[in-house]
Amino acid sequence: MSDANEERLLTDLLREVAAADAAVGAPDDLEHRALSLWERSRSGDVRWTAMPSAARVKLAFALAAAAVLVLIGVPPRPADVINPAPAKASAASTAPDVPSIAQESASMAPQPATLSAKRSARRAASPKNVNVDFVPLVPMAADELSGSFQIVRVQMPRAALGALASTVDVGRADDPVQADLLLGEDGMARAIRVSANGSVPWRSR
Amino acid sequence: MSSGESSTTVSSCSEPSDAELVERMANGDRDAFATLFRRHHATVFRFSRQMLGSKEAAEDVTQEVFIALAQTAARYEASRGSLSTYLYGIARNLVYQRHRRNRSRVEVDVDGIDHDGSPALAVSNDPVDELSRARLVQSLRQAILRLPVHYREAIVLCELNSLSYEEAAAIVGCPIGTIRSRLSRAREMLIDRCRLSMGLIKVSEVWKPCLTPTKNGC
Repeated sequence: MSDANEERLLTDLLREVAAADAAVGAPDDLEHRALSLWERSRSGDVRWTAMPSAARVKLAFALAAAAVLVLIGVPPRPADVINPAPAKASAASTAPDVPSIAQESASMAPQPATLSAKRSARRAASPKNVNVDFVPLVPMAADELSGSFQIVRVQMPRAALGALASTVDVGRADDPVQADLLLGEDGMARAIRVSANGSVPWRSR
Repeated sequence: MSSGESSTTVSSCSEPSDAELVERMANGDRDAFATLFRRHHATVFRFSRQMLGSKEAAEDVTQEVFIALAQTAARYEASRGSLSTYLYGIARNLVYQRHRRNRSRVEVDVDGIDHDGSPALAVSNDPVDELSRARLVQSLRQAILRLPVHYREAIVLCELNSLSYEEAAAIVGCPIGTIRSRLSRAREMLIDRCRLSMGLIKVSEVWKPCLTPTKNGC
């Protein structure tokens, strides 16, 4: 139990903390950052949320890790909520010589053994499977698919996407490309789709 | 006094109200967004930082609060409460989201970390000298961050931001009595924890000299 002196001391200290905090302002550039974020949100580049600083770092790491996985030939496992079939068809019609990650993963990686055919069929029929054109960036275990996801629209240089495939057009490496990233609850990017014109840029040439 | 009153009147006439700015912002007025941000961002940033203990996280939350305000501007009704209360509510929701996401870890501001890492043990003959007030304040900050989030927000709103019980209850969405009881319980927990951080020496014993007004002060 606390006595009156302790109560008074606590009040005193809390006032001190409050006074110290009142003197600390937000960084000067925060207004500028918020304004540019607002402008992007109005133009549709950022749909509804700022990407947290930590998430930005994790995203960069995830993209780099995905690039390494592809370059060393380890196929990402297909995610159940991300049905790569339409992307496969699109790839075949536009650039058959440049296979997409989804195409490779669908043909090479086994389905998670824990999912029964019935469960897979139920998932396929569920509204979650609307996101037909997402391509997995990292292998995802079945239990990871039950969490919630966020979709964040970003703009990145074409070169960053080129690293995920097998060819890079050096002349267009700096071209900006819009993409939707599927972020897990931990902020890590799980999958990507390109949103500029509905085509996947590394297959659009 | 009268000049102060007149200047207040003039400024209130010349500056648009929050409600007007929110309406203009909803129609895409960039200046309205900037003005609202300048008016209220410090409050949001301070609350977020006090709740999360991290400057970077507070910056992110502050930006997200104003983006959320811009996107939900149509829902804001000035008749139901001040914009400040509305923004606190958004910030609170975002803080709770982060808290759920990072439940396993407590973010502690690097600026506030005591780098020598030694606990504030009152083992010397003169504990008042040994325990600087800054260190005691630091212990209190850490103790606040370790409070359960419901208790933490009561302390942050009422004690650190000087909001009334009514305002805090409106932000949290609970009866005033709940705020009172949470605040009381939170204060007890803080005293217990600060006592622990000082090597189980009673706070009142250490600081009793400061609690008695003297000519020199304390």
